[in-house]
Amino acid sequence: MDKELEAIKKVLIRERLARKQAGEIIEKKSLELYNLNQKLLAANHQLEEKILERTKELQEKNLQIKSNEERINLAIESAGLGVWDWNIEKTTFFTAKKLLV
Amino acid sequence: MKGIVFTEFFEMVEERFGFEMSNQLVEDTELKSGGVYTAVGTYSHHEIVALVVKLSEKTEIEIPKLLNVFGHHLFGVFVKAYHHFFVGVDNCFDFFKNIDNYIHVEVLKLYPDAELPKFEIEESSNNKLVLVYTSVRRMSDLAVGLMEEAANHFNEDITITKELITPDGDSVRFILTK
Repeated sequence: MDKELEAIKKVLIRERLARKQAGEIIEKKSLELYNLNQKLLAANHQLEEKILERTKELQEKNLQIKSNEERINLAIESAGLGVWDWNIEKTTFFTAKKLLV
Repeated sequence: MKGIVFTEFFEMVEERFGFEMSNQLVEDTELKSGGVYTAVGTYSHHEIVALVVKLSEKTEIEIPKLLNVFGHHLFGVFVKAYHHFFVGVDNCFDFFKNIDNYIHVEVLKLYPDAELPKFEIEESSNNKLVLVYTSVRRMSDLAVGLMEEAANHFNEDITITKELITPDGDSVRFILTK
């Protein structure tokens, strides 16, 4: 029995060391995860900012296109002209109403 | 190799052969880890080999037999520890077909550089499954024990035939029939 008790004691000591080792591993791994998560959050934030920037650029371009269009239409109207466009590839035909009259 | 393999190995030794055997095993085997293992750690697979060899010497049970018994024991542990892998699976073939995915997630989540065993499906039908096991660990006897216990778990009768693809056992073909 003494021999078994002695063995159990030694096993217990190893178990205790193992528990401590497990704690250290988990601490280290969770720190790694935390740091990675922080990096991901930062990257995410940067991406969001970039999206906002791009969206703003697109909006500005759209506004420019719109005002160009208005100007062209005004010029065409006041000159009494019509515009047509035949896309051969897509076989679509666009024409100003005026030309159909 | 995943720490759970070591912690469960010692649990099996303690259950079947007692604490004296478990302690003697550590004292008489040269182990870099000092015989201190945790499930969340990772240790050289040479240590499990050395431990199995030593246990075989001490118990006079052949190594393949020990590995097989250990496989049976390990599967029982996996069912408890990784029960989420068994949700919606009702037969062992379906379970085996996904084994690679399970192993990969479980091992890589803590140790992205881990060297993994591979189970490739060569042939699959309702009553026959051919798997190719590739691992530098050469633990195919353990794999057989795991598969046998998996079949027990699903209440299925399967026959497992093992063919060596490479003579050293790095690559083994398992032919499973129902």
